[in-house]
Amino acid sequence: MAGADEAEFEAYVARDGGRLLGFAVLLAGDRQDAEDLVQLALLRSAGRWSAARQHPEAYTRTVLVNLARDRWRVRRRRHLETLAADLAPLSPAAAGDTAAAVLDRQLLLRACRVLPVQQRAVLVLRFWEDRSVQETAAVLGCTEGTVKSHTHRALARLRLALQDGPALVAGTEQKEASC
Amino acid sequence: MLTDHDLQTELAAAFREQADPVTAVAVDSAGIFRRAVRSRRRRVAVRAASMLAVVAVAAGAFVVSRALPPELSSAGQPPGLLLDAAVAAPPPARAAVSGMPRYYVTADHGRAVAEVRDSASGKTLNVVPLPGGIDPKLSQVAAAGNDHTFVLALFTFPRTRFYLMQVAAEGRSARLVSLAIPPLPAGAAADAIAVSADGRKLAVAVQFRGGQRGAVEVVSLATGAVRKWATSQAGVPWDLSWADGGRELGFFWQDAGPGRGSERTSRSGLWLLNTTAPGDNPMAGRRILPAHVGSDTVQSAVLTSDGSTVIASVVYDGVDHVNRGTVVGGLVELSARTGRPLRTLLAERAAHSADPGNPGWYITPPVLVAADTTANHLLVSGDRFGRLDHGRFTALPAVAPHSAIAAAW
Repeated sequence: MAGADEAEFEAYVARDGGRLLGFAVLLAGDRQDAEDLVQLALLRSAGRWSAARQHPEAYTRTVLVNLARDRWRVRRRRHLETLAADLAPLSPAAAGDTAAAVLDRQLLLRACRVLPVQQRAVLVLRFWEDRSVQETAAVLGCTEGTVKSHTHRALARLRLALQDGPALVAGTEQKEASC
Repeated sequence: MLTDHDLQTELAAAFREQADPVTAVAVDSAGIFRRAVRSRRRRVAVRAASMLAVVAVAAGAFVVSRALPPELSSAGQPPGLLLDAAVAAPPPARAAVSGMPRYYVTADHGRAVAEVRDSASGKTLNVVPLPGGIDPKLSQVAAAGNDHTFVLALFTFPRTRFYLMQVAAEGRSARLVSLAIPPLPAGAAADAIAVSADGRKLAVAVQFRGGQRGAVEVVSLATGAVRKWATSQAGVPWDLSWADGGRELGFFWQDAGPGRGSERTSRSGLWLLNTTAPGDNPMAGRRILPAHVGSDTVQSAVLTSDGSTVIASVVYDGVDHVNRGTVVGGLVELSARTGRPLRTLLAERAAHSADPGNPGWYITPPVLVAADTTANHLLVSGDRFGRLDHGRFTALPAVAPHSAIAAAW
């Protein structure tokens, strides 16, 4: 990387590094994994800075989502049914009162973790980064329709999880959707 | 009724609670390149840990039976395609250990030492300090199969170098010397190494900078001459195994990049490479075993030295319910010619953790850590670390089942 590019890259990292790490934490659900993802994503962006420099935020997030998806696919350490046990303690009364149940944000974050990476990324971009459907589509390199569809499905699954607990678990993580 | 707006509001709040504090962290761009190497080390460590770690099957494929508490749930879901073979009836203990290597060498990924251990008892016979400055998380070890010659790949930033360890005096003497063969390119890591049965060649599964590309290399230990097989497609090799007197090499390929998720286009799986044939395409030979067979996922696989059979660690994804006792994975012996399972050497069953911080069903399929030259004697790690002799499991002490080590015998 040439000197000017390096300075530009450093400025980008200084500006966006923290947000990128936050994005990765929400995507990976784990700080250590998130740091790894950010390092790799930034390294890739640096390696292709001539392409990334136009829209480094979008470029790096796209790389990061892809890395997270790869990681999930090749990951050999997974945990079954985290949600099942987490959600099991919901009493019928509580399950009936989903508005109360949803206040348990930890539960919500756990429910997010079993969503496919692409759906999780859409939720994070839309509701944490507060990006529009159009911006989210641009970051993830997919159509606005796909973003809407991912959002709809993800929210439906979260709602189902909060209502029915383990039902959410069926057919989620392995069936990775992509843009 | 919870509206979409309520859910989005709560979700945004939950995200803010988890992620906002992290955004204050200053990411040091100056260290990214250096850290990236560390990151690769972690990837390999994960890989190494994967050789030893808790493995699980996609949560999506399973639903816990909530009608009964775990201990009362019914067991015995049907096994998967690759596990659909009779569980081997192990011979008596004395017969099982016949021909077993006398020692195994471990390279601890948490400490810069190699240990020589007694195969029968697991007792440490020798602790060999590794060269200063190495990153132990990237250490690999291979055995020549003669009970005294081992090769180690050790990473000292930014290169991986190779060392010979000679074990003598009933394991109580061990000498480490640098091998006069070229190190790997800067930033590349060895994901696996294997010494040919005649001790003349070293195969190396290379993972290049970035972790998306890899190559298979064979190095002459006598001359240092290197032959390389690489492909333009993204992916990395691991699990190396020599066969046919050092003429053929088995390696497990894991796709990366676009198309990696499609079973139709996936090239992941155990491949056979004729190292005497011309060309530099690692996939010029045939794929003996795909990484996905029906609902089964092959985690790792090696070829036996006569090339007739494959030992594979398999995770079975095709169950609708997980209960205590559900067969969820195992070590399977398969025909290298047909890919059909011959016998299940070790069946792994689901277990439930009541850990209040992380409760749920865990699956710990046995991971193949090392095979001797006959593949009758395996080092495996599942719920426990130990030997598997002709299908008879014996726990070995001192190595925690999920600790990250490399081992060979």
